Amino acid sequence: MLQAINLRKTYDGHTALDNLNLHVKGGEIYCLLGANGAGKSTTINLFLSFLQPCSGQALVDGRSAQAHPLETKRALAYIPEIVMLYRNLTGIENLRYFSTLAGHAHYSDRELIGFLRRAGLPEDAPHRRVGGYSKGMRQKVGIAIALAKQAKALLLDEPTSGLDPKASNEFSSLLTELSGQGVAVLMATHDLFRAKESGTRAGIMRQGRLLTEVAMSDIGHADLERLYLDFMRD
Amino acid sequence: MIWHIARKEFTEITRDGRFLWSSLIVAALLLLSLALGASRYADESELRAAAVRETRQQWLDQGAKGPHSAAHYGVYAFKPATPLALFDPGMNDYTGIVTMLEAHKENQASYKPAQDATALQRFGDLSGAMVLQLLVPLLIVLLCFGMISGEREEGTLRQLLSVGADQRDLIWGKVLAVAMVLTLLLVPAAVVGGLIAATQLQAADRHDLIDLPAKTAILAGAYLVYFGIFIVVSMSASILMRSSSAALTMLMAFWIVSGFLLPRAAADISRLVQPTPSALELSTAVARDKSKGPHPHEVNHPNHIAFRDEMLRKYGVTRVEELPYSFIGLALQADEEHGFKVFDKYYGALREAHDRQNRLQQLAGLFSPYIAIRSVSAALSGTDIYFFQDFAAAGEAYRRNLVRVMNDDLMRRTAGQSNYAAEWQYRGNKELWAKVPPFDFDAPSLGTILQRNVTPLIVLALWLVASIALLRGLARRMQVERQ
Repeated sequence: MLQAINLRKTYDGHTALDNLNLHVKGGEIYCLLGANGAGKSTTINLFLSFLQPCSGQALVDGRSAQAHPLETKRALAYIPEIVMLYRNLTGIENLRYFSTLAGHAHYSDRELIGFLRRAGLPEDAPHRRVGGYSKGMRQKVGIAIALAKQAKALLLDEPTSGLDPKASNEFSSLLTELSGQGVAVLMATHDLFRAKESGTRAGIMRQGRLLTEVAMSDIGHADLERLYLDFMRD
Repeated sequence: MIWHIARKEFTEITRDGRFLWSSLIVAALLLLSLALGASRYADESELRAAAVRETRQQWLDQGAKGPHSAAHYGVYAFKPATPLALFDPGMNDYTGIVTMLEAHKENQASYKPAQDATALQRFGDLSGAMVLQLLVPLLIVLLCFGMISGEREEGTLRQLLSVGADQRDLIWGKVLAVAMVLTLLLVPAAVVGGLIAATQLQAADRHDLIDLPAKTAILAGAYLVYFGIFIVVSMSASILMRSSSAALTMLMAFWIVSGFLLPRAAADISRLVQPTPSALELSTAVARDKSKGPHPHEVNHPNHIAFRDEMLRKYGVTRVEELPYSFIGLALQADEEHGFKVFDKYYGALREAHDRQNRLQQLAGLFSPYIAIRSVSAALSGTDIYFFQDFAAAGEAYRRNLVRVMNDDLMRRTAGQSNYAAEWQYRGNKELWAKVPPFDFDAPSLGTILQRNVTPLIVLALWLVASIALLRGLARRMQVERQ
């Protein structure tokens, strides 16, 4: 579903991503681990075609993100660390707007509220303006946007940082539910615990390079952490 | 898609108190200026109608007197105004509205409110045109500057484009939303303004209403183009600049340069490049050349004697009393005709210099859409310099006919009389006064106006086309993050 082939990106001589090869299939939750600047966000931006690779390809559902920026984005849903919404619009208005632009203008209010509920937004929130929402509530609207989009692949950039443990846990079970429906998930995260909890595979990145890949079923919590720290050592 | 985007932007704008208040202030100023303009127009047209009747009555009822005295008595011509002048007073404060039409002199119009005004008042005159030419663009700038840069800063642009929205749709949707806000603001004001103007139509002289519906339509179209330019330019700046504050700074600079600096600079530069003589130089030159005429009242002046000898030779007689026409009548008309040539030479040159200045200023519109719309708006409203020149030319033609009719009567009716008897004993009467028709003036037709404003109209079209091309290019290449 998500495939990086020899993907390379440099800015002003600095190599942000070096020859990345990656394949996330439907139903998988792939966690990209690594320090800041390891190239995790660059990878996600390349799949979103917000960046152009210097060489190589980012494929979404078999199609190049660079050659088909709009079509490939239709198949994706993106949840960043902080979901940015229109503060003067209510939660449901934000969701309707994003869904409409994603090509789903047909949702009724009831369906939209259903998505917000499913994402865990409190019951009284959808008709309040987003300006008064907490970070967690905005994150949930972001999840609702992804749900409403019925995306085949999710791109998550530190989605749970700043969420309380309960919200974080709800998020994880939602991810598991979605991957159960065949959605491919690529998640950049620092949260080894959360990665182990919900991920099916993990890749460890450093200075733009994918150093190793492990299957979560083969490794325990402590082992994952030790592996990670080993790779981070100079 | 564009429609959904426009609707959401529209909702956001109307929920933002700042824009709501500034829009309401602009709408209120527009209505106020139209109401003030209408009341001023109504007062002035009433005064003008009364003055026109009065000057005509005074002319007809001036009693028995010599025709040349009557020509000295003269009439006043009042510059008419089309109902659109209530919207755009244009050059009215600078050109004057009354001309005295009398023997011997081509007078310049008087009663120019600008003469009594301080320099500060240049900024202070509130008119509908000023609101549309300066305040509405400011409102557009304030509405637009953060439309893209703000979303980029907030991070919503990233979120929005990640769902697969087409960025071109996004930008044109925003353009449409601003257009909707302006429509909501301006259409009611235009309707009220139209109703106010309609109340003036019954009272108005039909000479002032020539092509009025077509002129109004073109005027409205020109303002739509002008607003379109500002929307598209502002949206382009919002994409192009690094931050909202940079976009705002750039757009405010554009607004000030286009609306205040360039118009003044263009006026000063056009005066430098195409200088006109001072009023004193002009009147000295006119007086000097005029004194080369036959001096009808100075029997010992060499020019008088030369003219008398010429007339005696021409008609083959020895005494002025034997001429087929009275000598004083011939001399007065010859003096007038000499004057016509002098006036044509000097005032004609002055008009040409003004024309060249005006053409230069129109060209300056290439750098300032404000200059272009100002020219088109005043022309269609009948308050530009050309309308004034038409009025002045009509006044002068009327004056020439008036003195000719008077001198003609004098020279025929007093043939064989001495100069003194002819000038001071012969009396004309109402029948003669009535031979001079009342002054009337046709406002220039739409065709004439368009022809005179080809440059600013093309300039406006060029601005719109060029700015749309720029925005299309920017919309295609726009990046979520500036790299």
